[in-house]
Amino acid sequence: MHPNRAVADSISVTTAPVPTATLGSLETFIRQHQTHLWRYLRFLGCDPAQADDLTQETFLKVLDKPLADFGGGGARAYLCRTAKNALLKWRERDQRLARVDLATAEMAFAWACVEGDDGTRTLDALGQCLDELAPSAQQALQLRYGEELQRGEIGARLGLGDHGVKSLLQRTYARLRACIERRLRHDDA
Amino acid sequence: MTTPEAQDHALHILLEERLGEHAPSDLTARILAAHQVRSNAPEPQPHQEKRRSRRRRPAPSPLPDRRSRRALATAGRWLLLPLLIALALVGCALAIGSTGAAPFIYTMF
Repeated sequence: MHPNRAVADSISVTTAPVPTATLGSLETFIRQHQTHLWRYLRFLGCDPAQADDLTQETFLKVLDKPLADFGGGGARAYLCRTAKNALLKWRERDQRLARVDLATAEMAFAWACVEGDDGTRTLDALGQCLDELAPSAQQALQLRYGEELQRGEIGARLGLGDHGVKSLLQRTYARLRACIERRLRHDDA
Repeated sequence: MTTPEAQDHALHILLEERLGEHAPSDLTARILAAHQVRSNAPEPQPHQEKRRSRRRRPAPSPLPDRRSRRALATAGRWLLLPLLIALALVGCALAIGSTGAAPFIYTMF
């Protein structure tokens, strides 16, 4: 065989069209990665509605191309990079400033989503740690995050001053951080 | 190494998800529907592309366009301003250099 012919054959094999992914495999792909991607966007500073929109936009961008097999971690990294670029483009277009800088957000995400996990383990650990807190701390957190009250309003409900609420919340955060670290390390052991 | 600031940020997001109504919803159906709509959309016809490419573009302006001006003004890119001023001064010096005032430029340096 002529050497050029062999090269031509090899090229035609490598550039052959990738078969289109079936709807079932797309659905599995989306289900597998959507929570991880959505949380990543939340950590980067998106509100829940915007995280929904950018998750959809990211998947559509990725699904427009033939679905390559990256393996679990590779697909997640690729999706996260695409989502981050989409978010940065959106911020530049609408001239929005980031609520948190990217380095801190990514560090926070790496802390919350231990390898191979989409954050569910940390969230479960947080749930258990919340149960261990004193009733006043639980109530303060419920008012702050559940009812989205300001510090002054929380103070009025709990009979504390502004500084009292601030130090109560700070002490609670420190306790929760330590508790989550302990539980995750205990799970790993 | 995770900083306490990053851990606090993580905690804040996780607490919002746990205690507030900010949990992730299942977007599978929504994404698949949008994907179907997009893949069923007709491909642009060759003659349409041709017509678009024939459209005349306006002549490029030597001044920065509105988007660049906006980026300069708002996105914290004032750092470029000294460079632009320096370039403008060098341009002025070159322009004056070709006139009768050229000997006076030397005294500036």
